Amino acid sequence: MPPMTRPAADVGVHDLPALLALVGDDEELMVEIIELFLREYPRLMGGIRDAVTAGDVRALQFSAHAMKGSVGNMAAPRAYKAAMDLETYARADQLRPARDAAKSLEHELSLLHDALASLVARRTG
Amino acid sequence: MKILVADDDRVLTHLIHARLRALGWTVTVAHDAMQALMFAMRIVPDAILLDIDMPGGTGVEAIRKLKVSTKTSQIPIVVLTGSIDPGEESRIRALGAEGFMMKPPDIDALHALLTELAEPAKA
Repeated sequence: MPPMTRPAADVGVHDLPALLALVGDDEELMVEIIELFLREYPRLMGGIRDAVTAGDVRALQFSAHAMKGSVGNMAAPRAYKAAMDLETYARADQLRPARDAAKSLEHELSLLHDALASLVARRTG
Repeated sequence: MKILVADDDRVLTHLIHARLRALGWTVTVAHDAMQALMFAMRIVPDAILLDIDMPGGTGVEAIRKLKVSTKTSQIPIVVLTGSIDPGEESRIRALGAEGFMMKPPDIDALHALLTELAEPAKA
């Protein structure tokens, strides 16, 4: 099996050594949890969008917290920071900056999705 | 060793389940606080790993209930949290939880902590 390498574009989007450490260097388990994450995160993002639309900061805080934990499992520092910012604004009842933070989070998740999907494709292809 | 893992984060529970099972432990997973209480009463695990922010009743309520039941009060509880609140650990320990780890947990450290807490409880 070839060693896993990280393309330059993925730097900061996800931290492959940290992800491998989390799974105990078990690449099969890494692929399993990535695939699970790719199925799960759209539901969490949907909850964030709904909470932003409704102006419900309590629901937004809960959804952002859940997303923060979820992207934390992927060793994704930029998406983690975006989710943490969103949670912080929601906790402080600051809906306007929370809306911007939700957009940033969505952008980071899109980059993370592509990076993780590419990683899985390289591993399983 | 029998471990109950209670967290609504399915990626994390899959990860913990796989890693602890590979170490020879029996791992049961619950995805909300109600399910966690039910499984704890049914299987009486050697230790419980519990998320503090779960749907279906909070982890805080689950700890309180586990610590007053004669069937589960002696089971060590390790709380997993992603909270940024610096006062969280002391509040959780005041409820009776024996351990505290930030998410995502270092699985080797988690394994060591669960072993340390559960072995004396089993003796």
